[in-house]
Amino acid sequence: MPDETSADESRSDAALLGLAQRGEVAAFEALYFRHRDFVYRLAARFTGNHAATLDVSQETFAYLIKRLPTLELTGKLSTWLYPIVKNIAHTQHRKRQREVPGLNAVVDDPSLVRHAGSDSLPDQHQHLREAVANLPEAQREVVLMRIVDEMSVDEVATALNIPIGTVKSRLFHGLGTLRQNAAIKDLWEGL
Amino acid sequence: MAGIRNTDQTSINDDGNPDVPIPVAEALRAAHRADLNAHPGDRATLDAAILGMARREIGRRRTSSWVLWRVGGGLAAAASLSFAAWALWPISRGPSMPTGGIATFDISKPGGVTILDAFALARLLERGGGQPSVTWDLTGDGAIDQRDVDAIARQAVRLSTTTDATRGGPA
Repeated sequence: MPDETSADESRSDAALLGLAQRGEVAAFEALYFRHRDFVYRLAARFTGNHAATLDVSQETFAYLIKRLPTLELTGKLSTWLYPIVKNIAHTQHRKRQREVPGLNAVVDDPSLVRHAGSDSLPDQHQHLREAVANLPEAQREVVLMRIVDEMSVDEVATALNIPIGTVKSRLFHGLGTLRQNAAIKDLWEGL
Repeated sequence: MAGIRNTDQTSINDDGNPDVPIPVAEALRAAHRADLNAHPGDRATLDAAILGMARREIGRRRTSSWVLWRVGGGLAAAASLSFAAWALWPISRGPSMPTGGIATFDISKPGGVTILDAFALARLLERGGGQPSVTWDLTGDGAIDQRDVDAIARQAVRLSTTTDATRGGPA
């Protein structure tokens, strides 16, 4: 993966976007490589299989290119990308369901889908994964965005278009539930 | 990242939320890891598809902007030229001198309009006399005025004609 130039590294997403909008292809490339792995990881979480993940990733960046001329960004591009990835993944899944009647609806819950290599996780990590999967969807989403995607509370709020207070509330309850889970208690206490 | 990691402590403090021990955070990330770099062939294909599309689309938009800039500049130059000719071109040297106060002008003549035709109409309007043929009404608004001069100038630029004064001219 080409490294960003030192100049690109210091530029914000908004600055790179502005340059790309003025025709600087290199600026778009810097943006792409900066967010490619995030989009892929997110798409994998929503789709549950590698082929669909690639499709969603490609569709997401293709959509970004199309929207480039009119896109306005004040913060990180990830807050804009998050709902795009989510919507494209869900749209593609609904389309697959229409094409393949009887497609397991459980796929709609991506947390229940095992990714390649997840079977090799230590038991406690499996328990943690299952504990997160059992959280209410709204709480699970913010927990994953905050911890796995390392998004700030503000960024989560922007990406989900919900108040910051709502994000904090969902985090509080979600993390509180995880802390109470006996199966991962040792992990939580650092033993 | 502010609020997510405190290297001086063993836990992550996030604005009043319960502490999340770093091992828990790392375990969560490991449990949800999906690494594109584990599929180098697919990664390369994805990169090629997106970067190729970007070069085509963004490059095309840049070229379009460049062309618009140049054409716009050309139009501005033509408009300036027609104004300058209208202000400065001596009547006695006008190549398209209308006669009898009536100017007829064949915009379908071979080679189309030239910038000199714009000059001719501009001079006619300046003189204030005569009645230009309706063929001068390029804008189709029923009036023959400076807007038609500009329209002729734009058409001349578009056609990139020569400035051969022997071509065309009102009959």
